[in-house]
Amino acid sequence: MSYILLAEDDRSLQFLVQRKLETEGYTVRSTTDGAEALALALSERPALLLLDIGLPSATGYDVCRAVKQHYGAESPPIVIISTNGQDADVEAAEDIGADDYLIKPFSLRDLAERVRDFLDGN
Amino acid sequence: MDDYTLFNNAPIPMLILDLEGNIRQANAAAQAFYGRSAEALLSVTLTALAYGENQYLQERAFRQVLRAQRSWEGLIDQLASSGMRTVRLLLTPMRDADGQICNVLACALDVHNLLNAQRTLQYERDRLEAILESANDAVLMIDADGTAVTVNLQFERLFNLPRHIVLERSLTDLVRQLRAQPDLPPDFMNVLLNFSSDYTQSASYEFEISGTTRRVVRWYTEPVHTYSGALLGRLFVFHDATHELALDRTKTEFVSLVTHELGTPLAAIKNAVEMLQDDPSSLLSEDGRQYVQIIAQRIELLETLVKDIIALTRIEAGRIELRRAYHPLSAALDEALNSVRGIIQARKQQLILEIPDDLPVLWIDRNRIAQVFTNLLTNASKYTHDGGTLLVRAARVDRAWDLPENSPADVRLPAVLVMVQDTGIGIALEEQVRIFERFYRAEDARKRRIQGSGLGLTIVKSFVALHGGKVWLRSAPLQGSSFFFTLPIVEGQ
Repeated sequence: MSYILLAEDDRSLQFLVQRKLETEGYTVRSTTDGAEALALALSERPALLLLDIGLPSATGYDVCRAVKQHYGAESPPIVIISTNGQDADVEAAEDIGADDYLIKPFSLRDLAERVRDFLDGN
Repeated sequence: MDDYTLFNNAPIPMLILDLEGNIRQANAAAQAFYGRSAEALLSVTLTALAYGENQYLQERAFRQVLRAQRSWEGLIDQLASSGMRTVRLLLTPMRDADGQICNVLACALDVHNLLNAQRTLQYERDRLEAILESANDAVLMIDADGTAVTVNLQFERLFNLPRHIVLERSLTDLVRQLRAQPDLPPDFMNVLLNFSSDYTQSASYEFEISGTTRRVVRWYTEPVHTYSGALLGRLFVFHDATHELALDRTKTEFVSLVTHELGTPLAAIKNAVEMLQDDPSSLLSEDGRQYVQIIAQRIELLETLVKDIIALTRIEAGRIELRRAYHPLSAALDEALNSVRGIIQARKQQLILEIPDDLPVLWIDRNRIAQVFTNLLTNASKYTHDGGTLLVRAARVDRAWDLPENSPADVRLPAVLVMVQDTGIGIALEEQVRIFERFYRAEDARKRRIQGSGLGLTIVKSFVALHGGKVWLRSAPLQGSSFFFTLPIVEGQ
């Protein structure tokens, strides 16, 4: 079964997001590392990616760019998570093909709703 | 026209004196100037016409003319019809047919108004010069021929160029010589060269001066005209903007600190609360216990950050006052452990305390020293892997040779020496000098995405310094760090 890939290096936040999505009935696979996220995304094609920007070894932007290039139009939706809420950061995320952008602190309910829109709309 | 008519009609006051200084003849201009009739003048000496102490000066001048047989010229205050006037007095010996001096001709040119005007002008010039010299910006003015005519003190300081090198030289000539000075940036020469023969454009920008301290210089240049529109030359103004830019950077760093360091813990708290709200029964489960723990930890983190920001603001405003009393060191340590024990336990790290029972009590502000411990222990835990070891050791030190190797030279003794040691990622040598700077974070810490405000050690340093102590460290990458600080033992307080 296809899963949601969550890359977040803050373990507490990772745990909370994973639990929330699991209670919503999704399967979640988590990592704290950018390169690992990229490897998983390219080999297994998750249903959706949730990427923090500040990740060790590769940033969320790097992962997003590579995944979008690899899958093209068939790419899974990507939601970027960041503490940078400035317009320029949101634009940068849009420029590299991110489908949505969440600014910390965000609401888990809001996150779950956006994930539902992406996954259950298909 | 004979000599007498010439003498009498000359527009300058003239007197003919005998060898005793008695006035023998006075022309019409002299009678008018001194406000006395010819008869009245003929009954006095030249000395009587001088004002106050100038009588003596004038007397001496007269004798000198006779003795040296040469003309004398100088400024003398005289009594004229309109009061005291300064005259340029010329005393010239007159000779008879045998070449002997028989008389002295005195001409008095009234220069009173001229001198006053000159004094006013001089005062005005001094005033403008004083303003220019006390200006905070460096000023260079060139005339319409491209020659440097004015520089001020700040210019000499900023570019380390004495004015005798600069003044009265053409800019092109000056730049040729300045190229030899290694500290001056090429941008500075280019500014001067680009505008050395251009008297129409205005421009402004900035450049950097390297050297011992890096300075950022903002400059502008404008052609200067008189009110009537005549070209005077070109003005260059250089403003040292280093401090302003540093303030700007601090502001940016602060905003980034607030967004990131507050945003991340807040996100976790908010999300954990949401999970508990959405499923209150989870409170009793293992998950629920974790949610509560996350909230507690993150609140602790935020509290520390808020305390750090407040402390730093006070330190920078110079408004820190210690509330000192006698406390054992352990009182401050225990207070710190109340807040950091949770963080250490969460990472399954071992904490070893080696605090001798017989340490002297210290004259300290307990809360501040507790914050020193909190910040050092939080760092030790943060930069050490899960399951690592942290050690706090304290000892009394009376003599400098009992201090550990490579301690600073100026440690006040006797003191209690405290060491907070970890088995963490360590700090590269080149970063150790900057680690106490505000907002500074080690490259490795950033790369590993370890959160931190870059304020903790800045606060440690100032709090320890306020107690008269020193703080330093010993560390190497991947070999852990040991932070040392001292608290002087103050006897007889």
